[in-house]
Amino acid sequence: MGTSGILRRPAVPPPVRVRRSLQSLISENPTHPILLFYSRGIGEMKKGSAEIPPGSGRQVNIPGGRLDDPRSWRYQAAIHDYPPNDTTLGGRRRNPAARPFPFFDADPFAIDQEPMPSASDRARFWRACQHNSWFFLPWHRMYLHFFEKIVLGHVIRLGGPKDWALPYWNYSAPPGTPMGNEALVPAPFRSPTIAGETNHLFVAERVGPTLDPGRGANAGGRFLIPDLVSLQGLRTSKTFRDVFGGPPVENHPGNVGSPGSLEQTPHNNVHSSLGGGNGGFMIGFSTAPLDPLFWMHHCNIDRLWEVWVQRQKRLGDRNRNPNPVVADGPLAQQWLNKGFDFHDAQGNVVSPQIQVKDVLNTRVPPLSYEYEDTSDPFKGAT
Amino acid sequence: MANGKDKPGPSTTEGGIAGKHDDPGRFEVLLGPSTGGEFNTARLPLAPVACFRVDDIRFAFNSSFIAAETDEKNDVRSELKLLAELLVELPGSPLSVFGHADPVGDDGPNKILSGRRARIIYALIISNKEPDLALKMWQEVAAEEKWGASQRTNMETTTGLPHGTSDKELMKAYMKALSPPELQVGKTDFLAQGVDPKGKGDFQGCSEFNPILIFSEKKNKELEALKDKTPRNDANAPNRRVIVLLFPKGSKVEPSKWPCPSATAGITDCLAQFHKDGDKRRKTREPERDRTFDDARADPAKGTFACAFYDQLLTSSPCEKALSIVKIRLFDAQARALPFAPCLVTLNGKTTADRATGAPPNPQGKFPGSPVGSSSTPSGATKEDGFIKLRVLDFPATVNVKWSRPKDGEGSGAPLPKVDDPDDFEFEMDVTVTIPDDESDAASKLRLKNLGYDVNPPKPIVGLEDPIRAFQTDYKAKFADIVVDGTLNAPTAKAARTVHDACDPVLKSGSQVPLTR
Repeated sequence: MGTSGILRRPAVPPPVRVRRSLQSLISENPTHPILLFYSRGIGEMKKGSAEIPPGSGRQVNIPGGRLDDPRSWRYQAAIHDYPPNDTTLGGRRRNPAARPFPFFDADPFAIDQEPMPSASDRARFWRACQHNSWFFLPWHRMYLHFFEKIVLGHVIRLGGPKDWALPYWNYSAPPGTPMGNEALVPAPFRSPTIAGETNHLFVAERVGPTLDPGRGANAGGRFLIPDLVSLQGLRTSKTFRDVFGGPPVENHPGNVGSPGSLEQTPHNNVHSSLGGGNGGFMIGFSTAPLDPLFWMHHCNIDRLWEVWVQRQKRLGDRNRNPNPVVADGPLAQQWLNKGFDFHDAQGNVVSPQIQVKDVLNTRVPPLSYEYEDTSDPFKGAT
Repeated sequence: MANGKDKPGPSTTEGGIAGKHDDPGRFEVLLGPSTGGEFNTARLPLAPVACFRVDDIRFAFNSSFIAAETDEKNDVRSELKLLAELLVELPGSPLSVFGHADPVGDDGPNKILSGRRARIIYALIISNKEPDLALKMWQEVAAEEKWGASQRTNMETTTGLPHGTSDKELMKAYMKALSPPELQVGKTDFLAQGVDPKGKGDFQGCSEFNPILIFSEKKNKELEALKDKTPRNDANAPNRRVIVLLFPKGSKVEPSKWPCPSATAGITDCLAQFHKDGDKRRKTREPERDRTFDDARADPAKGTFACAFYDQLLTSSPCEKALSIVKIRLFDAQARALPFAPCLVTLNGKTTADRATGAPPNPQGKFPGSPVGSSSTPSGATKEDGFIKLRVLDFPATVNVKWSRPKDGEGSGAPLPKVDDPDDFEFEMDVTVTIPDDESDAASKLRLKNLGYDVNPPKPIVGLEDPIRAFQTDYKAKFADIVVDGTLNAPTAKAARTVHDACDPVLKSGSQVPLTR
């Protein structure tokens, strides 16, 4: 019809990975490929060796991977935090090494004279975790994203599922129901082997007290009670600051201010319950990411952010993230435009910096993931 | 106000269009019957400043009855709102209504039919302010056209009035329901101010004298060869329209000097206004190519309007163009069609809220684990579900769409999303509309992007499989000649075009995980 007519066009958004629930994966298959390849991916991240001491001609294995490789297991943990008393000489860990583990401020894998990143790189990329701050959620969302891509790269190279994504660990029983398996460390994380091979999902350093005398968390002891993982904060907190804390400033590791309701419960409670006392990984800022459950735990916190946002939308409440047009004005702009430094799956510095406004919608690039379950645990009740 | 410099783009709805005209200062208009180049006494630059159009789809076929739909944005109410908006921008602009028929049938009867549609629209426009006159006009048309049970049923459904309500009450209530309350226009607000009892100067029918679309010989032959005349009548729909012109504030005409005959009169006075080659203009067919109103832009002598008076009034009018339609089908990331998906559509800087089409039973975002590579249309939905429809003057390069999967229970009647909450949406895409009509690499990449395989993503998605390889993997079962090799070769380009143009992708990997939202 000349210049006019009818055109039909499809609109299919880019692919989205589904971060699945640990419990549903396990119920499908206790050695589900997503878990098996998570273990194998961590195994790859933990590989590393260096000539120690320098000039010795001796290649020494570094359990946990090299500290100067941005994609290693230990480097990824150091992004969150690293013991402050590390010192170097000529780019190597200084002798005598830092205080030995099990102190909170020690690196359990430290080797005297092992290679370290430069002081400027350590200042720029390490010790960056945000707590008791408006950046708690977006910073951890970015942190999970880049970690996930590193693991994914290994999973694909090892022939694992191409749609692999980090699972989340939902330890909260539905409101009003007693806790069952939610009170336990998930079974595939408790044994030193999985499918007949080394289980990198297992760490021994889960030393919190349990309700079952003589049975630690790794032996299936109940280490959580409902109050510690209650989701009431989702319901009672009406602003971003109420839910996930403030102030709107960078706050590493979180020594000032106070947590929001969900940062405390369940986030802090799960860390302290599983990490327990001295020597537990999950309780220390620098050691927590050395427990593979840390990442599943934070996926769940990240999911709860989405659950809360979706719930606020359904309730018609525009107070769901710091929002320039609602109440938070310039502070919201400051929050949205804040950028952080990370490395990508190839070990390159992400440039330009990823900003908070890039990570608000998980379903679009660069994140492109969604959670298996983002339903409102309170079914829309106000 | 009529300065072309600040003329915004026209607004369109499903069944109409409204827009402003170019600067009217550049020509003068005859105010009385006249021939050739002579001008009569009043050299008033009477040129419309804006126009407003109601399309055929608002009328029942071969009738002047305007049918209401369940959703008011699908009926004439959306056009009347456009008119009310125009009048807010151009207060005090007098109006005149022109009805048009399609070139099927004889000039005489078509003059009467086009006149009736003009009367119906005129009456509807004044119905808030002058309900009695409006009612009388509708009753007259109803009697001429013998409206019956189907019109009554539609009016009863829309107004909620019980069966047995008198025609008068029913019609009055129906007009009230159709006309937005902000539209407050009386007969004195028209160009001849309602002086003539037959409405000369205020509303008229132009028969089939001014088509905006004349089929090519080839197309005409094909359509006439069909036994079923529906395709021919559908293709002719752009010609059946009612145009309302808005003139500069203070404009006024004497009915006796107005060149158009009244809506109920015969065609003689119309013929007197024809271009010398008027019949040629309105009837000539080109062998292969359709002629349109736009042809006059390149060469005024090649216009399609026979009536010189109307031609002059409507030069460059944004309302006299056959609107094109863009239909965009919304999917989720695994390429499942999304009936009833709420969305925001941004085109030329204007954002509107919409909801995709759907037909019960409604899957509403809940999908059983369908195998990868199977139909993107889960059981219960049809291949026409999940579309949004845009009417445009010209095909845009892209349209920005933000959308979400519908929530449980959301159907066609659910409230539309709010335009000021853009972060409410799960997905966003610049959907490419204009794509070269070939299978070149450039065209194929645009099609693949619309299908969710973006080979040049604005932000990298780390770990994502090569998009061409991913497409080949997903479609090799459907197209036997596809080999998974990551190259954009002929079979891949052809498959992308077939799937793209049919808006019928297959499910992508990841779709087996049921989501709880």
